[in-house]
Amino acid sequence: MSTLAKRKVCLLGATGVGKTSLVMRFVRSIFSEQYQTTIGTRIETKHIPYGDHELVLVLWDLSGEDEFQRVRLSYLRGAAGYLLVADGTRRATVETAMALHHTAAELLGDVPRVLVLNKADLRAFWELDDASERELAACWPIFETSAKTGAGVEEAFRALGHALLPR
Amino acid sequence: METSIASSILASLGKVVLERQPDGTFLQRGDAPAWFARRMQGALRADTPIRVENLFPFLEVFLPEAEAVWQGAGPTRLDSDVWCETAEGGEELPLEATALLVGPSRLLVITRCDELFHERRLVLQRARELRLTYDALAREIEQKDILMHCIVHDLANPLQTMLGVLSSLDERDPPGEDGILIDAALEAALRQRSMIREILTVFAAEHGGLDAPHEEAAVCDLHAVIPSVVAEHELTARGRNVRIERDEPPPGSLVVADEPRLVRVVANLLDNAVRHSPVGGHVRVRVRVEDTSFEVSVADEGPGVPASLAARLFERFGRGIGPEAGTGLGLYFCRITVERWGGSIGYATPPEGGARFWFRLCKAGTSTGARAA
Repeated sequence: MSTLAKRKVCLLGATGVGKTSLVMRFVRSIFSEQYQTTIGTRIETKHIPYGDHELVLVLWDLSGEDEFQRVRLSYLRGAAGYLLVADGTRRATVETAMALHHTAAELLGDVPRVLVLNKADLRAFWELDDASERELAACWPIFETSAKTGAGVEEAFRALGHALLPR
Repeated sequence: METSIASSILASLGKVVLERQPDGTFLQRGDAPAWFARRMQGALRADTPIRVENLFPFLEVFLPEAEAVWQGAGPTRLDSDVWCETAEGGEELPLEATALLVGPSRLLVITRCDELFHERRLVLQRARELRLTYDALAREIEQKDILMHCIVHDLANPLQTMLGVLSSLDERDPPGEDGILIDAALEAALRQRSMIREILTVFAAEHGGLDAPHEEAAVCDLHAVIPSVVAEHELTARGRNVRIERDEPPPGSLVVADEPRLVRVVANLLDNAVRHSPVGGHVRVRVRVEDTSFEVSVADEGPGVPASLAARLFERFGRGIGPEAGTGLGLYFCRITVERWGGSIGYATPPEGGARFWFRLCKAGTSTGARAA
């Protein structure tokens, strides 16, 4: 490998959208059906090769935003990019993701980011309709993922990682 | 000796003590707990400078905040939130950091806090699971409501045809038993239409109809509403030999409410009262002026509400039993409507018997007359 770069990436989204499950699937290739809430922050590291480059993603899996816990904005400091995660079966989580995006963009500026619509394995139960998804896709790099099956997970993280490679 | 014991105690409590150096690195002070030694992969010597932010990326955001403590510019202690790393073998490593200024020493204490972490997670997880379950149930109920609305709406269409046919037959004034049967069928169909309308009205109220912003400022006059609703019910009441007595609210009895729905609320109470009144009974509609509100009550001389039903009278489907029972939505509609105007509604059993329903609405234009949020 000719270059090695380390990048901090934050995962943001409402409670229960599957942020930790996505990280576990991506970093450890595991998935648990049992919901386990995140307290504070969980940090994982993943090396991704891109041709002659290798990127070390330091993934900050932040506790979900809800009435019980706020996302501490100081944790975004130093992030090179972020993944916004929403749950396709709960339309309100897209709105939470958008609100978090506005906050993050104010702090970090125009850094690379992707929108992940998780729980693609439950597509039949999605509240988010195709028209809304097309609207989002017009403004965002958007990925449908399933932490359960692994579908789309690698692609979402790799796409963000690619945007973070040294130029 | 004492220092050595204290150091061992801290290590056995899962705490590592690090002292900040002028160049921003840290030196370990005292013994290292097992988790920290494993993290350092045995490479640690007492004089090895450590870049803690490389070892624990979370500290990248905590150290700048801790500087205020170490510079003596703020409090003498600062605790971080709990964060979680993954140790060798995938084991969770929940940690917490504390910045301390002890004399000239600028210390960073990192504690492995499994117990605190698991307790906190248990509580938060339970709360979040309940919230997710609640949201899922609310969505399911809404979907069922929409389905019910569609079904009820579709039921109304053939009923309109039946009503049209029955009305045409009735206009021909058929003689004898045919006329009686057509009248009975027409009355039943009209009653069914009224029930369908009630269900659709409740649906509209629950799903945004009452949330329209203009309704926050809606005002209407009891002086106009009460006589008009009573007049509409007098014919039905006379048919049952029931007499309606009413107060005459003074002109300008303005309340926070919108007229079409207030008419429906009063009509609901009056309809119930007439329906449950004994033949030859009285229904009394009273309006009482209070400091900041008006109270409207409708009392009848019927059997009253059974105690077993009273507690859920204003709940959805909290209906009575028997032929006089309605859809179980009328009083529910009254409650959600009155409450959205900032008012209240209730039921009382008068000592002399019968039933007395009341609702209270804020006077319009008073400081307390604003609609409740």
